[in-house]
Amino acid sequence: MDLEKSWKDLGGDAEMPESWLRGRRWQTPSDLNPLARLKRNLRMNMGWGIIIAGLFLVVAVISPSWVVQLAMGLMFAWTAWGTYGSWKLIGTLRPEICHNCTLVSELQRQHDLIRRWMRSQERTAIFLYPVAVTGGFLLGGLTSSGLSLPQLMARTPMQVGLVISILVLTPLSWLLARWMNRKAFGTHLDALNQRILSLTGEA
Amino acid sequence: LIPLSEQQFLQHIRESQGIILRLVGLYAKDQEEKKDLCQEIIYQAWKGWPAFRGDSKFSTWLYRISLHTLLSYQRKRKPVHYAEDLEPFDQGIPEDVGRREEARMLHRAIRSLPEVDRALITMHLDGYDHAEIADIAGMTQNHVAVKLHRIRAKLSTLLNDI
Repeated sequence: MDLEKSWKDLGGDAEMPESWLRGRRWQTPSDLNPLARLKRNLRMNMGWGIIIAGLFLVVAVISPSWVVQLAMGLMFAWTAWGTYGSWKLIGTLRPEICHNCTLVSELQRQHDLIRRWMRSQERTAIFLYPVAVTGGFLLGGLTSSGLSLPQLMARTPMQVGLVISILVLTPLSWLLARWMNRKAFGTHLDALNQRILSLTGEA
Repeated sequence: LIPLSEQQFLQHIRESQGIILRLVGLYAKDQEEKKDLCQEIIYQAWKGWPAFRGDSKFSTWLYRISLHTLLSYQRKRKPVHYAEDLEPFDQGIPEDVGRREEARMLHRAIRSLPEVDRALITMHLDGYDHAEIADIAGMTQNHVAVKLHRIRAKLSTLLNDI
């Protein structure tokens, strides 16, 4: 078979339905664009971050206990830090491909951006969740027992409980974040990596 | 009222839509994905349109964008089922039954290649020389030559098996 001839026979004159070009749907990225999806996720993260940070602030203001105020202040700071990180990352995410770059560099750019996003999510899990666990543990203990913080923490079961909660929940949160990242972008990341290796001759 | 530059852009897209459809036809799993991929390619072209100065032909520029898009999009999470119908491409396939069957066989064989190989052989069959393919893909010319040699051999085997 003459490959070139058969290839030419494969209908270069085909037309796409006119409805695909009508309207302005083609002026927005499709659901297949991974960076647009990341951007949407980060915007949602930011939205939730702002709401949660606001709640921490409200609790801190209305609470009479300085311990709760301190815990809420810390939670607010952590959440604000995480939200700021999302905002910074959004600025670097362009769903548009680089029109003058080579295929390898474009695939590498996308790969690096997705990895960066995954790392930021895992960092958030490892730094934010222990603080959340401590805050929740103390708040629950204080409100249910009616004791002051020194009285509460003087109890050995509470000290052990707090340490165990942090030791168990922190790695668990990190693993959960990793698992969710893999589920969302793992296959795509592997595919990108495979294509890069194939193009650079390392496959 | 559609702004002039948008009109010009759509005119160019209409004139070169065969490129998009032929490339998308090698990667899309079904009609829905075909539509999404066409939308994504046109979106990417639209975003790059203000920077397009006409240094190269629009079709060459669109070709590069199409390949970049097709190799960087995220597949939907569903089982891969390559439908064998060529309905959208039938308009251009010759009446001659033998040639028509050969074109179908080639299409099927290329679709069964790994994604990067599909892009390389497509560029090659569309007349791009090794230097141009190396420039678009970011590979060395030597690597392009080696890859194309292997892909052609693989295609021959596949076409004999079909």
